[in-house]
Amino acid sequence: MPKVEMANATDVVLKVENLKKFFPVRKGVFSRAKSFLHAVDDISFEIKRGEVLALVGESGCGKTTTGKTLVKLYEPTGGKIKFLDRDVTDLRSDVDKKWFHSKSQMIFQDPFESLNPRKTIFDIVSEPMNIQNKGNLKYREEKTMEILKRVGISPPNAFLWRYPHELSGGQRQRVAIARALVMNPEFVVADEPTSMLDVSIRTQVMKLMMDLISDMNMSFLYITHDFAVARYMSDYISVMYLGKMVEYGKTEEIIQNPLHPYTKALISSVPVPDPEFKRKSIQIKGGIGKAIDPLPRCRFYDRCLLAMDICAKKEPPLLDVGSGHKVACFLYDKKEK
Amino acid sequence: MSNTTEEMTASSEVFESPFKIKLKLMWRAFKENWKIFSESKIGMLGFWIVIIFAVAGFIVYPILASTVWKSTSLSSMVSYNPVTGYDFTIASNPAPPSLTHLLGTDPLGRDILAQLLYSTPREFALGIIAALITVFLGTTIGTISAFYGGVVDTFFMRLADLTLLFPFIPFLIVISGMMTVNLFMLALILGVLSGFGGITIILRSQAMIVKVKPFIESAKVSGASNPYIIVNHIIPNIMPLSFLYMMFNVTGAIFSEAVLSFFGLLNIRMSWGLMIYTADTAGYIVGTNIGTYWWLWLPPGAAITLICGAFYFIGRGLDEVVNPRLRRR
Amino acid sequence: MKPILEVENLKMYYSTKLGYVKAVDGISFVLNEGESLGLVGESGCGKTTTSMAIMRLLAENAEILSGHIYFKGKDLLKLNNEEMNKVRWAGISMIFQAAMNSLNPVYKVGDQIIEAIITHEPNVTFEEARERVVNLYKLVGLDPKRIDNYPHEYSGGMKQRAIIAMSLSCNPDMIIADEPTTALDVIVQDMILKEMSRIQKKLNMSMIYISHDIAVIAEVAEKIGIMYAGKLVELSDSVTIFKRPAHPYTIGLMSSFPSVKGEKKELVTIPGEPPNLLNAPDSCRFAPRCPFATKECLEKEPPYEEIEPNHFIACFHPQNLRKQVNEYAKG
Repeated sequence: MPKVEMANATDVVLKVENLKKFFPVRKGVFSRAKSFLHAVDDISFEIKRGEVLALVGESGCGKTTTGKTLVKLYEPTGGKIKFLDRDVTDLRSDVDKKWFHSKSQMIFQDPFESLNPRKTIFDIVSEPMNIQNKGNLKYREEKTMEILKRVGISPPNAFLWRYPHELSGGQRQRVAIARALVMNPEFVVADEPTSMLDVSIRTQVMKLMMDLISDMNMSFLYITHDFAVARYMSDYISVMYLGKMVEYGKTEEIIQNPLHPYTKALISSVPVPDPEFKRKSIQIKGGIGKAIDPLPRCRFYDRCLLAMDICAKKEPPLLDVGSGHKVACFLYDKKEK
Repeated sequence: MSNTTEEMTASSEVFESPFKIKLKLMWRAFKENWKIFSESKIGMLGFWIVIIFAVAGFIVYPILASTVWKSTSLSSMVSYNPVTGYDFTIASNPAPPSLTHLLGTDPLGRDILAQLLYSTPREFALGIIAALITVFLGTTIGTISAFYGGVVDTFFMRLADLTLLFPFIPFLIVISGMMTVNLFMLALILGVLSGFGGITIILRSQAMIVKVKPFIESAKVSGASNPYIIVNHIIPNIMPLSFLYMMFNVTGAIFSEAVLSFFGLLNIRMSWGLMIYTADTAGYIVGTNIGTYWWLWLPPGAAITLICGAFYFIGRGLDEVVNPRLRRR
Repeated sequence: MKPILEVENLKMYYSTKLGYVKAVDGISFVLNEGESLGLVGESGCGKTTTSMAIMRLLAENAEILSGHIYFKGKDLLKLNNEEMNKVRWAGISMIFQAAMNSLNPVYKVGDQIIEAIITHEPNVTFEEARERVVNLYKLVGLDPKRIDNYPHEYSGGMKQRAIIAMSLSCNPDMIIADEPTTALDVIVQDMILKEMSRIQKKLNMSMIYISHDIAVIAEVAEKIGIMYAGKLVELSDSVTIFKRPAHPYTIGLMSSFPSVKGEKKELVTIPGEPPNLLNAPDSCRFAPRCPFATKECLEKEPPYEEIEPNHFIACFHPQNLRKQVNEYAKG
């Protein structure tokens, strides 16, 4: 995608082409689904080794669904997922499944719910190895201690046999990170991993993740609603709106120079910790809806103050407006203008 | 906490087997839960009643039977055998409580206290076997039903509805007419029947809550299979509730047994229900006889009430362990 | 400027089996008429407990050990329940955390507000109350036609507006808003904050905002109090807090907060975690995490003092601190 630093093909860890995920909307229990919620509708991107892509958007924009589809918690409705040059859209054989699940992981939002309350920290962190049948008990224990130490749970042996409820929120999220990274995954989806944490703990966990990403050379998909967090965590930002990717580009580029009216509105709404700074927030109409059987037009049409006639007729394509900055808006489409 | 941590730190060089640590953790969890349970007055009341009955049935009765109540060849005139005994020294039966028969004798001249104590272990066995079967079935079906959903779920839930609407006692009456039902058979029937019923619905809804937790997704992302998730994540999280309902089921089973024996439908040697049945069929629980021959029905009746109540109270106490929201700060 | 609310050395502990949880431990502040104060802190720092103490809505095991809360000169802690009920809503009203989810789904939103009015002012007729609700809806930017809708027909932002309307329904002199925008998306949050700020200025009301998000507070509050582990560690006007913070915790909080504005700065982390407030010691509670802590900090409790006009701080070394901090931030 960003043509500038296209090195060689093996550097691309994850390549997503036209990914779609629709959920049937049922009226009654026995009636067949006639309409579909287009949670993720035709999005494409790629993540290279060691790179972090942030998916940013409001709740209900399909960012979590995208993440969960990529780690195969959901089966995609359409499109292709290529992982390390292998097509993993359909994983049939057990060998393929095992290979994929040992190399991809997910970190969840709520550290209070993502750890089984009846398991010890050792059980939780070593579980991926347990499921994948990797190494003997001694190997697993060593590995667990090593990764716990790495995420800042120290001394690890004092925590190994504790239960999640004995840990603070920050420690739990560290344990969740340790669990995700214990098998050295190539690709990790992090779904708002810091949004439930307190400010001072949040920065610690963000820094920890940044260190780990560069140390372990992982590819990261960072899902967040917070542009400020995305700015610090990611190399690239992709803004989603009702299942569509509306803007994509280098993080600083998006923050400093947003193009899509929605991105502009979002960034201008982020409160700034400076009482003297008077933000000019860009107003948009109404609230976010639901993409149930959407019409073939710009999904942002109803809320956009700059909407043109063409926006109601066609869906704007995601076009490169220079140096890898892509935007799906007819305002920047020279052909249509 | 501190104990295990210190031990762990001390033995970090020597690799301690996780099995041993798990046992220690279980012991620790048991102690913590016991502390919470012991703060529930009603739970402790139930616990002590059960202990008293257990001591009486499992310890006191065998001792008495082999010493004081032992029928020797010469003095076999006084027999305390709960089923076949007969005291020839008494002119007319039933006899009111006396020094030789602390709770009197029944219409057939048998010692009431001996009958009462003899029945106790059997009541326990019946209640616990039935409850174990119920909980095993309820947990398994509830979890599978919740996890797989769809047709499986619909099938088991409709089955549960049927079971709930099922006329239990008439069914048992018919069954006992068709075949000889002994205590073990009864436990089996009661266990299986209630295993498909209400408890399944409750445990299923609990499993539904657990099923959507992120730690289940977390396991799936690591490639866990469905059976793995059910056994390792869902069942451990609904176990406390299963255990709680097991206590309530003990009550139900003992109660059903009492009802059936009262109608004389069971092929058993002796039970509390049967004691009342004996008194009833001989016409001692009719009209003014109730007051006069109180020792015939009061001891077994009280025993049934107490033990059923006790297991229910234990359940209430456990409820506070399982549902932290009920706990007072 | 006349003070409307004065909190003096308020101490509120929760008694548990294991001892006292020192949830609010000796905090003092003054709120003037028409002023907005923001209380910022992490979860468990006592900011919600403080507001609950002001409203006298305390849990059973909460004990107020000392202190006074003067509202318009009256000590709220000395009022009986009946008198306190009059102060609630008409004097001080509160927007509770996640209040928008507490609207009863089976009643029309307008009726729920009307009911609140009539409960607190029994001599108001239904028509008068309805008229008032119409005006309130206009004030908070809701379409008065929406009065007869049910909560599920409202979006999150609209529900929050309705809750604000409800809190204004008895013409209070002061409103406490506990995390008023936490569950909302940024765009809606922005609109609600602007609306609240506008209403507060228009009605010349006093306001206490409570939030974990310092950026949100910076948007709306004129005065900011930073709370840490049951104590108020710094209090001043918002510009001073942001431009010249003096307490190490405030400084840490400021520099650990990511922002979309300006240059991308390196984030500074505060090491460690907030302490457990159960039987917390009487020393500086931030000392274990403070890079500038001395022996004194670990032994004694720092006094809460005014280091410059209207700038209060609880720290032993506020004077020479700023210099050190600048060096620390550089290296």
